[in-house]
Amino acid sequence: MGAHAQPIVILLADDDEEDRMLSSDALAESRVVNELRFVEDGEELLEYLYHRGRYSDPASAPTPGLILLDLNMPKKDGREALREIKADPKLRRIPVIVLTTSKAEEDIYRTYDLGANSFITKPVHFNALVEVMKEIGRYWIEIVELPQGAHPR
Amino acid sequence: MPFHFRLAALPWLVMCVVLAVLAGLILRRQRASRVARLFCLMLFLVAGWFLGFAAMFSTTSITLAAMFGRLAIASVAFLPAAIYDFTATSIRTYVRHRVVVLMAWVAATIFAFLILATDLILAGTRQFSWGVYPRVGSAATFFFVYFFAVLALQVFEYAYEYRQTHDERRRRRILNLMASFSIVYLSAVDFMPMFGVDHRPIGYVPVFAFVAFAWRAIRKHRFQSITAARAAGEILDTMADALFVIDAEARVRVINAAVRKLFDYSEPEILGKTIDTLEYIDPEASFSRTLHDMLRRAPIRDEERVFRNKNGDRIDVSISVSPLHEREIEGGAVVIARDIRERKRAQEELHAFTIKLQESNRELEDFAHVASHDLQEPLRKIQAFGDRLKARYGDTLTGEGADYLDRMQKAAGRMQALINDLLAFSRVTTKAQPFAPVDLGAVAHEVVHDLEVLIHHAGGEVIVGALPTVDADALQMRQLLQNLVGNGLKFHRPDTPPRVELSGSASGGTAQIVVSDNGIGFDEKYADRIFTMFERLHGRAQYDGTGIGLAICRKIAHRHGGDIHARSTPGEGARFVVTLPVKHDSKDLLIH
Repeated sequence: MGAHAQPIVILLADDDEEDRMLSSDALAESRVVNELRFVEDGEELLEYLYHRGRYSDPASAPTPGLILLDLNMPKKDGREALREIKADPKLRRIPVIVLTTSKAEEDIYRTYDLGANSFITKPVHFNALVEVMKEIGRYWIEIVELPQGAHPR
Repeated sequence: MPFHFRLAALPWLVMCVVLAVLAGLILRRQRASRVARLFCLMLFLVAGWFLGFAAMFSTTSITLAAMFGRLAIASVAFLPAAIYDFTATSIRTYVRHRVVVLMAWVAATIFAFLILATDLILAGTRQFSWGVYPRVGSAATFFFVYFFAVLALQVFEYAYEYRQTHDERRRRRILNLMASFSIVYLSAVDFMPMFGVDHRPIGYVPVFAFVAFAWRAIRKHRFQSITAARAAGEILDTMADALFVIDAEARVRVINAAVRKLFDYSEPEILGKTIDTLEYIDPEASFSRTLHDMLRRAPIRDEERVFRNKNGDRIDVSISVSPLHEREIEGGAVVIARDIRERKRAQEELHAFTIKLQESNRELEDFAHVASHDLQEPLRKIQAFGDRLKARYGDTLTGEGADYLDRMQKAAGRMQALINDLLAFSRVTTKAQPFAPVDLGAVAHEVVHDLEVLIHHAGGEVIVGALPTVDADALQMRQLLQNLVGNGLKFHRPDTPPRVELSGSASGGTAQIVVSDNGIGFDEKYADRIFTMFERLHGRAQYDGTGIGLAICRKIAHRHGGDIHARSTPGEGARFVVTLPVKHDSKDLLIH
């Protein structure tokens, strides 16, 4: 069991509003109670992580314990954002789970090469998505010990 | 001794020897030509006539004189036939008049026989102051009618040909032949003493004139003008290819009609010029290997080059060069240039068309791939929100509302299947992997393993026999076998559990994979249609499916340079036969 004083924040980067909605519903249905925050593209994700722009107040952007990342997004796509996150010594500790519609082998290889911690293809049916969220919650929040460094305070 | 020399016999004897020598000379040079052989035959016949007269005038025995006279006139009897044959052959009417020619020869033989063996044509001799001479017999009239009729026919034929032909050279030749023969015909005055007219025979004089005339013609044209050379000239002019004879300095010495037509040069404009005149000067080429240089590389066969015509326009040609070793043009060559502009144009058009086709093919594939990818996005949401609707508000929906929702979700599911299959179809080429040896037996076992649930559910069995190893894309082989086995399991008879059998063989570089089942089968008139995209033989209520599975199979087979066929009788199962090349020269062959 995770022994955190405060439950971690999950940050979901997805440009598609409906997908955000479905993910949020699925997370709720799977009884993961952690706070879920959204960003809509790679640029916003990095602004959030670096407390820049609209996230300049650190209180408004608690560092996430887990990032769910879509690959195909405008402005800066998931691959570029992933590369930058994994190139930053502090941010690289945050587990990044790629959650995408893509099934392409090429995407799988590339994202793991860039340091992604998991690659999950978005399931077609909602029930399956709930299952996925449940498993993510169980594994990444309950089973796995995350480094404290993931929460630089 | 019945002979004693008389001066009167001398000119006959001399002419006889001259004619025999001349005929011998011509025969040695021109044995192959029928015209030459006939000409020599004429000369020999005249020589026979002269020899007969020479002997007749030299003998003291009346009996011998009569015999030699008969021999001489028998030779003369063959002359009209020989002259007529020669005429027909030389002005090329022989084929048309073959029967007439034959009749003339038959008549000549009959009359020669009558002259030698009977007194009908010739009867004894008459004594003149200048010597003995044969005397006409009772039926001699027939002989003279034959003799002059054939000669008249020959003259008539010359005249007819002369009026018919428009070729100036031919007309001149006919006129020459007519003139020379009219001189010979003057010898006919030598028939007069046979009727008692006291006229000293002088037949050798016109014949001498004729021989002199003919000798000149032979010297001038080497007798070839009426045979080989002329025929060759005509062949050259009817050739579609341009022909040049060039000398060692590459100067054009002979051209044919095609040169004039193809390059616009008239004969005086090009003769004597070097063949490099025709070389196309490419403004972009840094150097040009001249045609002149080609001579050193001769012989050349079908080499593509660019020539230019008189106006400087480029003309694509394929040239052949053969070296010549004639006395006059030692070190020269025959250059044949074939106009290949049409071929070039067709090639270029084909090339451009192929590129366009490849582009549009690629675009189509990209489209299919992108379209199915992008279609998936909204569809996924339709399905997800449908699920949400059902999960959260399913209880509040009435029976009808629930049914609508159910149908919507099933339709969405079908669309999902269609898109997946379309993607799989386009991936056959877009996601093609290089070929490598693939053990189809191992692939088949994997496929059976994957389909285990389906097999178990249908209560069926799949039997995998020996399958060959082929150069292929392993993933696609797997898809191919999976689709075929899946098909066999799917289309089973309601009362019979499915049984699918896989077997294979390889011979002559071709592998054959047979997938047969005991299912419902199909009417063979649909044997081709079932491999077409979206083609289905059954309603969805009976058998589910998108109609793409077999289209994918065919595309995979085609991409591997193979093919797929189906045999079946309704109700008795189906048999799918895939043929694939065992080896691929280039293992990274990615074309389809």
